[in-house]
Amino acid sequence: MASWGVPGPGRDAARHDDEPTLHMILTTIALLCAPLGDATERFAAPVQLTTDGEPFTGMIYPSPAFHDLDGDGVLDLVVGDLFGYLHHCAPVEGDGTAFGARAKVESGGEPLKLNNW
Amino acid sequence: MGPQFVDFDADGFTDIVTATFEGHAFVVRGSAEGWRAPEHVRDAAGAPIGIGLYYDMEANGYRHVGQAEGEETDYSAPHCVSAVAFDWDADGDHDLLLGSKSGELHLRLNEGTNTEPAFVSTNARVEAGGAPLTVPGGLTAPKLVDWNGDGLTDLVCGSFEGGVYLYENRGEAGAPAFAAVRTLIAPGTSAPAATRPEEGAYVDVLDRDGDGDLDLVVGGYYDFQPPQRELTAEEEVRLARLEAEMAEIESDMDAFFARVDEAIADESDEDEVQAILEELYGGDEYAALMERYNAVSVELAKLRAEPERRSGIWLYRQESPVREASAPADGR
Repeated sequence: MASWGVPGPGRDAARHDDEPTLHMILTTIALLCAPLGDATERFAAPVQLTTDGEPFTGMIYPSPAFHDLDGDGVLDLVVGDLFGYLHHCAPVEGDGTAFGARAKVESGGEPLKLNNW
Repeated sequence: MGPQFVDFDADGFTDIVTATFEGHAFVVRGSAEGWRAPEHVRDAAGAPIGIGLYYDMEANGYRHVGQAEGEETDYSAPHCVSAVAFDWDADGDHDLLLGSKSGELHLRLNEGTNTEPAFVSTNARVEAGGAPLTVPGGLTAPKLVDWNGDGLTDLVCGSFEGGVYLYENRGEAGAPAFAAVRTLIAPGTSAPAATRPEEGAYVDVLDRDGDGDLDLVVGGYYDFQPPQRELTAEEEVRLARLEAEMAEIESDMDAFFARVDEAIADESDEDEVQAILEELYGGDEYAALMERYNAVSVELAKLRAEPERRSGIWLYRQESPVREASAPADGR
């Protein structure tokens, strides 16, 4: 397990060889107290998704979800917004962050809209 | 909103379950002809399912569940802003998990079936780590996913304050027991560059890069500072003059607002207060102030790069040691 997140005593142990037992105990306690989960998942720097070659922006409270809307076996990006609309776009070639032009999900030939005020 | 794609009514077509700031759970049913019109999910008594605060479209204002005629709206009541279908008790039908803006999660059990649901009329507060589950910074929406590959459904929750949090299920099928919160993405800032969501984090979870572990896709906001272009000497002079003019306008506005406060300070009758406000804000002085403010703002924006608030969506690829966590399929 990586040791980041371990507070002072663990680091101090390397500098105080005259108190190995005490520092070993403190280090063990610190490891046990450290939030295990925070040390087990690591994420790369986030990469912004694009739509039609531009950053995916211009929405209030964008809420993404992936679903194969058209049944072609490929997950589409569906994004809800504050006003109750759902927008969708299909992925294009690349690293999984690029999508084509976006359009609103429709119901009965009109944009699907959930009540919000 | 945090849409969930799931066959909610077991008719073979994928539906959309979600909630908005309106305060109730919705279902958009799929069909051979496409998506149907959204409808409220209702309990066995016919009431739309929510938590506490909701927006009454007819009254054009917020109300809370059980509010009596003439009673003040309790704006502190938990406000449902997300909903996901989840078979909590493993009895073969979808129950609902309702998320509140303040961070709570509530369970609404279905005592019927998927084809003939009978949701109870009360919510039960979901716990985590032996205490009521409360997502730090408020809950945008939860996602259901087997994060650690143990066969149980865990919760990954976005936060209005920008973080993403994990609640591992350490119970058993039919009896979820969520552990205390673990931070997956800590809130943070990225100014001046658009490097990460800072607020309003809505998350989806999937193995986006196909490397065997689960990644996060997070929508949210960030503050963006556009680069300042170089000004000519003449523009520098004009900018200084406009900034001085704006300072004067802001001082005049402060004086106006102080007079408004003074005018209503001793007035207890709400109708009188409303009349005073309408007179002051509908008068020539306020109109002239706003005209000056808008005109100078437009000119300033041509010379000074103002910070902007922008939305975006980001992919966080997990770099942890590869685990065979099961990527979610339908019902995520």
